[in-house]
Amino acid sequence: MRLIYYFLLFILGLSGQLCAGINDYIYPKSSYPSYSNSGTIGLIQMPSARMMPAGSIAFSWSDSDPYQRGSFIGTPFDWFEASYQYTDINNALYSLTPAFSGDQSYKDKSFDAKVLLFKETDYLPAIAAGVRDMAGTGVFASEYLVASKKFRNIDFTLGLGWGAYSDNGMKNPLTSIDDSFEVRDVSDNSTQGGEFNLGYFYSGKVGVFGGAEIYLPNLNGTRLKIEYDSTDYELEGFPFGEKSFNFAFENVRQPSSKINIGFVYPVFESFHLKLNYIKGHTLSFGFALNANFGPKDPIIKKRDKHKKIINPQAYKEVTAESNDNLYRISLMELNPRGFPVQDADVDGETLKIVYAQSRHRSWARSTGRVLRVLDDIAPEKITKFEISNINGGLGTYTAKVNRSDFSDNKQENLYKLAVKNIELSEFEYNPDEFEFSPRAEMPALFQSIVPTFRTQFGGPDGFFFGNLRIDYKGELLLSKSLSIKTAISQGIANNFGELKLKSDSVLPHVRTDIVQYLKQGTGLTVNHLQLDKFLKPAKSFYAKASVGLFETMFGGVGGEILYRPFDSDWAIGAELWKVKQREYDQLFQFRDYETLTGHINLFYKEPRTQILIMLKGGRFLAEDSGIHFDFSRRFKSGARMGIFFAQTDISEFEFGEGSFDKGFYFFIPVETFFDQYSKGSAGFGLRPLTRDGAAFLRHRNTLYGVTDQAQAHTINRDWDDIYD
Amino acid sequence: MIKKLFLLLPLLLQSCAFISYNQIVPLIKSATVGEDDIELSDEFIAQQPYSFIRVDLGKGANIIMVLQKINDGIYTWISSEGEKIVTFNGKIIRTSGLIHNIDIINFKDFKYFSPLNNYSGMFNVMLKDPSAFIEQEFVISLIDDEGDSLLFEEKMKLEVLNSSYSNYYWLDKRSGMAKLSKQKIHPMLPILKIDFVYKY
Repeated sequence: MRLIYYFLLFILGLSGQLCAGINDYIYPKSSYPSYSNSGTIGLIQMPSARMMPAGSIAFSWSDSDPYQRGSFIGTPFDWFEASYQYTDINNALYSLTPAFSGDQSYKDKSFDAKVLLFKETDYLPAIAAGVRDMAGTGVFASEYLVASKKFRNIDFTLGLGWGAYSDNGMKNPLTSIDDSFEVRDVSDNSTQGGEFNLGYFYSGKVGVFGGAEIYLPNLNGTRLKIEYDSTDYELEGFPFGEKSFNFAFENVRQPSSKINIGFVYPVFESFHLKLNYIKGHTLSFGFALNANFGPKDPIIKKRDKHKKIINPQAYKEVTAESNDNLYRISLMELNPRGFPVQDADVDGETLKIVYAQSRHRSWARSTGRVLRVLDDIAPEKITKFEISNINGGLGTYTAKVNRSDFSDNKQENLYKLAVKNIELSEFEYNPDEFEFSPRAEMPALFQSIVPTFRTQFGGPDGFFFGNLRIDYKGELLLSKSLSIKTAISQGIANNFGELKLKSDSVLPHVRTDIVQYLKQGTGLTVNHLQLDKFLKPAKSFYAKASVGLFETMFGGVGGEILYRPFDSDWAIGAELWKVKQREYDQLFQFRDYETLTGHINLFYKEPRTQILIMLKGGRFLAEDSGIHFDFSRRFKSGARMGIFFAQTDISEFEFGEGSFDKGFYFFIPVETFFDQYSKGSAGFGLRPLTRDGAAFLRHRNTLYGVTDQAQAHTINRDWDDIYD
Repeated sequence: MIKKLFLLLPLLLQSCAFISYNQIVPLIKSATVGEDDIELSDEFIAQQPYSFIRVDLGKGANIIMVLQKINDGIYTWISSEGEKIVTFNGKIIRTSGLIHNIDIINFKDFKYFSPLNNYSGMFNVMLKDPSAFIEQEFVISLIDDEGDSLLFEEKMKLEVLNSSYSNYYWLDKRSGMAKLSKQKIHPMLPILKIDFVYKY
């Protein structure tokens, strides 16, 4: 009791007394909470109710014997955190067969999730509920209900833990609701692993944990953490060596103290180092790298401003003389700014311009920049602009703009007033309707050289394998609607020599021969070489026919069709492909396996939250049939994070380890790291295991992507960029 | 530097990045060796039509700001990107458009000379981004008058942040104008080195 009294006194002694504004300077780099050794936000070993802002993506790594843990953490909403953990358990072997896995230690994969149930108020704490190791082997399975309340510079946390968090063993309060919460039966695990076992959640005895994260004044944001740890270390991992698990060889050292203490040092706002003393005898350390991709320009402020027309009045005098002058000056000023004019026409007081662009992901910004040029060069008789866009020869959208609305609000950036009367509609492209159609130089070649990295990690052969490569990426436009896209790659350095895992799949090896593709593709490869023809057969209908090498593993012929009404939030499409498996060297030879694969695709985008739901139902590459579900959220920066899973008509046994296909991914716009706008994305996706079930063809230039701006919500979401 | 390199890591995980060496090389150069210095050569100075300052933010990050106006001894300097620095006798008293900005309310208390060579006082400063009001104790003294410059040290103390440091001002003996200064103006900004070039 006296110890608790001194502890509270110590904590209160560290609390600050200052007003909120200056606290930002006394406790700098404290915008973000910090990560626990478990990989989720929390204290040292225990979780807290704190969450990162929506759009945050983080990587956390910790070493706390006998575990080394790497975690990817995504926060798609400010009330939901999901993480994928990779844990190296160094008191067990990957397998007992040295020829299979050498002396590599055991690797455990797991998913964690946390939901914020109640936001913190002036008087009440934030409350969150979470589940740890929910779809893995269950060796860290635990659940918790936790509250956090910040008082001055101290963030207090108090929680209840189940499963591995239940050390001090109180009776489960949930038994007053249902007696089934009394017993925690974890024996109902699937033989293949990877299933969500909801049956035992929040069951069994309950432990109490708590602690504080103390922001230390004038120490560059350093934080002290202290906690009471309710982890039952006899329930976590393989505590008793071989008695717990065949592959384990050593007991885990049990704690001599339940009090853990640690420091977090923010090197900068989004990079934290941590050092902890846990269990009364173990020093642990780690780091966490976090970035919030929620807001616009989250990392580097753009310096890619609109280039002003030098002498607008002189232009206006020239363009007033003839429409031809207006067309040619539009072409002359828009093309170098990255908005090549495809067609132009003057209809009474309206100037119509058809343009293309491949640089801005914000269509409001590209429309605005075209308007700024036209407003500066068009004669006074022009009172309206019609800005239309084409992509791949497909008409996408038209924005009808009153010139005065645009120009009157430009100075003060009153974009809401400027766009109030803009009419958006689908663009039905017919070049014959335009008086001016400049002759495009065809074929046109766009190319770049980029470094890439092929990776494979978490297998029995070794934890990490990589191949550093240089890719040539090119796109040859033969006409507005006919193009060839390719990526030719040359390996530079790799450590794939040790890879030896062979596929054990009973399905056609459409993906599980990945090791063969990696090992035999270390030199020159053709990653894809795809010819596309785009068509718009009717209003809101888009079509694409393709032939070539679609991806590293398959090539063939096929196409897709998409119905995407302009004013709707949904779209539906179909695709059919006759494909043949490519040789492992990824050049121009094929293997024997060929198949017909196709899907009906359904898309729904919720405009307010920017959540995209994609369902893909049909026949997959391994000739299994079923549905692939994909849920993702896009943020203002253009970053996207999502999860996917699939159910097909194969059994758990046929699918193999993991039971069904699932995983997560995120895309980060490349422009985030630069001060110039560009459209590329850096993507990272992870599925716990590569299996053959529910695998689908990856082809370039999907119609849903090519026609992104052919739906009103894509343009409406970014109107605040119109004067950017 | 470390921050930029860390943030580049996701690009190595890429599956569909579409960036060129035109973008990558300057970024890596900027992250590792910094930007090229803007050299204040005679030729460069001669080319500038107006008075200007070169602001060095450290690690080769230089910007040129031209004199926009002078009003009651207050000089307003503006960059091509719209950032503004306002100086009074060479001391930065107000900024806008920087990552972190300041506004010294009683800036006219700043002066170089005092009978005992230890002029002291208190600046009331509005820190911005994030906003906070602080008091800065200062003591100004002449510490060197060798050559054609006078060197003044401004010792600063921010009690609430448990921080103290010194700013330095080099004054041209003939004109009495600041020609160089090294100032820490905001707790979250590095020391700014400013070269003043007057063209009148």
